[in-house]
Amino acid sequence: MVEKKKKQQAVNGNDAVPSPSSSSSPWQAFLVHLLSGLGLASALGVAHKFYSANLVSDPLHTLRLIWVIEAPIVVLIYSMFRSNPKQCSYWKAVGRGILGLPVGAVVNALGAIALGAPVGPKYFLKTVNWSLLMSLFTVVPAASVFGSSWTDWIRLFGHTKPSGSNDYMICLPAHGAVIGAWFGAWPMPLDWDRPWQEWPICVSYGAIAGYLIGMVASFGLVLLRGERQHIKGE
Amino acid sequence: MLPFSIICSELTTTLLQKVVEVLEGQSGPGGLHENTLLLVMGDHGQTINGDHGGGSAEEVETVIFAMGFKDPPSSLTLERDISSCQLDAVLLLFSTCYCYRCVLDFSSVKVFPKKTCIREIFGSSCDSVLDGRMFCINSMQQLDFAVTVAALLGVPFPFGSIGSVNPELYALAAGTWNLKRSNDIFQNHSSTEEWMQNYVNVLCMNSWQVKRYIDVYSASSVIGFSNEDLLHLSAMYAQATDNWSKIVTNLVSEKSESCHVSLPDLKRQIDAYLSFLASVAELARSKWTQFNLEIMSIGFGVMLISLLVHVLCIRWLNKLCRVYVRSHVESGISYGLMLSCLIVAIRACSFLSNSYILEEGKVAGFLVATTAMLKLRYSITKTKMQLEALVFVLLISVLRFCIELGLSKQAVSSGLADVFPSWMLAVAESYPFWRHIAELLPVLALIILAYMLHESISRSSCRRFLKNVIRGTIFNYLLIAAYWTSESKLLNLPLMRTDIQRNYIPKVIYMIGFGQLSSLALLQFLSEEKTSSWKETVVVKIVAVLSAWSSTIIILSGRQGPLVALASMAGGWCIMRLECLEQDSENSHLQTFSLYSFPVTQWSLLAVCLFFCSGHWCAFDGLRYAAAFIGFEEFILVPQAILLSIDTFGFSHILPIFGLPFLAIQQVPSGTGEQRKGFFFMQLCQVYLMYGLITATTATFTMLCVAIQRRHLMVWGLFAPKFVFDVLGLMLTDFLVFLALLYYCVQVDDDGPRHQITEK
Repeated sequence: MVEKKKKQQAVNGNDAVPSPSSSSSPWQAFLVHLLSGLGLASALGVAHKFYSANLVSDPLHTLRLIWVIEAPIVVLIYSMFRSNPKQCSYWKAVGRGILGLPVGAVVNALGAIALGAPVGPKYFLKTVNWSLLMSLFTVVPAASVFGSSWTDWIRLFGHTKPSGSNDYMICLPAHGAVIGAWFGAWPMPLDWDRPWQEWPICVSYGAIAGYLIGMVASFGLVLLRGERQHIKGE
Repeated sequence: MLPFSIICSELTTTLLQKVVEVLEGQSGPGGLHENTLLLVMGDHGQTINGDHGGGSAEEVETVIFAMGFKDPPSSLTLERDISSCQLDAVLLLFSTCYCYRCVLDFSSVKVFPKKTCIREIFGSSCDSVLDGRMFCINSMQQLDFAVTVAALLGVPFPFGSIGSVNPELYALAAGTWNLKRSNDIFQNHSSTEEWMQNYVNVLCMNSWQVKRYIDVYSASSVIGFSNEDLLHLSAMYAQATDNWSKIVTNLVSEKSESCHVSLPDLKRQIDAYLSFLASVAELARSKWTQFNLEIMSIGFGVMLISLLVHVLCIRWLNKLCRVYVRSHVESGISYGLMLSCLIVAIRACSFLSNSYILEEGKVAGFLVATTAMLKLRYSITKTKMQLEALVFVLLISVLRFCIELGLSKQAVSSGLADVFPSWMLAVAESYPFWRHIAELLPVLALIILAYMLHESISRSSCRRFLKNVIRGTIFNYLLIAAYWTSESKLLNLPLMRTDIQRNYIPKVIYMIGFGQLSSLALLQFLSEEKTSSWKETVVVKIVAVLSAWSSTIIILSGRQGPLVALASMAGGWCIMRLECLEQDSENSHLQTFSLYSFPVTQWSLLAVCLFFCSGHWCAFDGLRYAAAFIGFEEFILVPQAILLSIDTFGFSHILPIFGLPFLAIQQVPSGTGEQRKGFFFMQLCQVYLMYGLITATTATFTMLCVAIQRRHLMVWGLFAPKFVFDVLGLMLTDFLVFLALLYYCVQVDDDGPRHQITEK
């Protein structure tokens, strides 16, 4: 298994020439994930403190609050890790991230509807807000970092072959969020009559949980990779 | 009827307090509620995590609160069950039954597992609600509820009930009886004795009714009670009634001054009746609510063995295939194989919960959409066949809405109408434009289908015989189109007499379809023509058999038929095309086993989706009974049963199984004729075995679920129909697979014996 991974890395190292900026140190990764996590936590905290709402009692406004608070954090932070800082200014990366938000939301919403998310006027705004949040978890970081570089997108989301620490930071939380949301949909048909079984509450919970797990995994892998490179360097 | 948890809640307690206060306010002599008996009950309990309807004590036990507002004339002492209880209110632990016939209960409740709840109600409310009143806590069986209420109301007992009148509840109403008469005549006659006299009379009627029901039941049922049991019951009943008549005749003949039965006699009589009723209930419980665990475990074992045989056969064929293609790579566990195993396992496990069975269509749609998206992602990375993958995702999205529409129909039929679909139907009804579209769309879809069939034969150079079969189907499609146009209100064509067109066209279509199928079967006995392309012949054979079935299935399915047929064709085409994604140089080391697992899983999930899309669900009211009367005015059992089963299993079993060779034909390598045929046959067997394995896995889990939930509230409403559908589906699948293998492969003579092995 370890050998396979090494081989893969060697192949990737030969194939794609990673630009110097595409790897960030473990503490940077930690900071990025910490800030994103704090953003989520603070959004939930604000919702609880000032609006006395949570995802269950008022999913629409809570989701809106979460993505409104989380969006600047994610866009501003990930834009610092843009893949080609020479050609692309910081603000251009921010613009790409902002553009990625609605595009990713459309993709996520269509995916959710294909999978069986309820449609109709009653659910429209909830779906919009949920998909904006999912877009922040999945598409926006990649849009900020890679822009329209299709090969990078394919590498991360098609083959799931992250090579650098930046890739880990984008790829793993995004996959975590999607897989978490997929599993989060499973309690929905149960006849328990609990309020959190409504669309999109449990799916959002699943996505947030998956996102958090993905961030922890990404930090762990970046740390591991850093150590290995350190050993290699020596 | 309230669930237990709600009864327990604070809200209900306060609500109950208010109700009791209001009722008490009007319970004085001549008041509105002078003779009111308040009953508050839950229909079932609930576990901590919200499950209800199961067989656990938490779920079958609930609370009944009963309160009478009129004080009994004097303290009424019941020495039987309760020690000296002046009955104003009764709180009974009420154990519901979710078992056979719903008149029986199997768990006798002696303890109070919900002590906390009882304390909660009484702790908070007994001072106020039950202020100064005595109350009594006991348990009763739900079996007894109907007769008790009937006795209280003074209406006849339900014919099929075998419960006994509950003394506590019955005693509550004692205050409302007009006891003046007895008090006037017999000064020294205590009200307890009066009450017991009444109770004996009620029990007498109760026992008579139960005895009558048992007699009627034994006379009419095939597997009734054993003779010894019946004799024993008759003896008990005779003893009790004889005893009572003796007492009464003694009373009349002696002309004793106190013209009433003595207290010990009454007690003895009550005991005699109650023991008779208890033994009837006990006997019925043992006969009606016990499952034969031995046969159940044998059946389950057979299913497990068949799963094992499937897996072993697949592995064996895999080895054989590897010899054919001369690949010696051992590693074959691919991503696709793991994923398909995971999906089948998830779907199978979902059957363990009643909620997922109820929403099976949605679950299947969810899973097939997931596979479609994974394929889309894969096709994007491969930068080929993105269009097919996208079409598949879109198709699944459309199917998903159809499934929801079907489920909403189910909800409507079970009385739980949702607002959404009725609104949609209203729109469809109120706009003539949409009605016209709805009339035209099926005909258009039929024309497209006919055109596609025509294209498929016009290009191929297969033998004329097969072409003629397919032409027959095209003719059938035109007939169906004519049938629908003549039936539609749009044109109002007075072409034919209505009864002729209504009955003859469908019958002609059935006959042509039958003729096509039998001629295809006859084809097997004719010598094989030397045609240019063997592969092409197989493809046309598949198309021929599918088209022969399709016309009957489409006309039975009604106007949605051609649309569902188009959808299934598009779905099958997408799966077939996407299968080739795996088949490139990079994956050539893969075993056939791994190659097929994912498309076959998708194929079977799509079949499940089509079942729900075409307006069916796994219940007996989900059968489309109207389909059986297309072409028939009156009821004839055999043809209509066949038509109904073709309608039910057409899109979900018949077409997918006969179409499955499309997946196998893709992988046949170029080679010499005989070798290629042998390889194709093995691949086909493998594909069918995988399909059978998936069906058998889901059926096994359904069996497991039914075995676990055999005491569940929904057993007759949900689990038993699902079980019947799954088992019938499994048997039909095996039968059709057998037919299909005979049809496609009979020319490969040396493989004949393998049929038996693989088919088991």
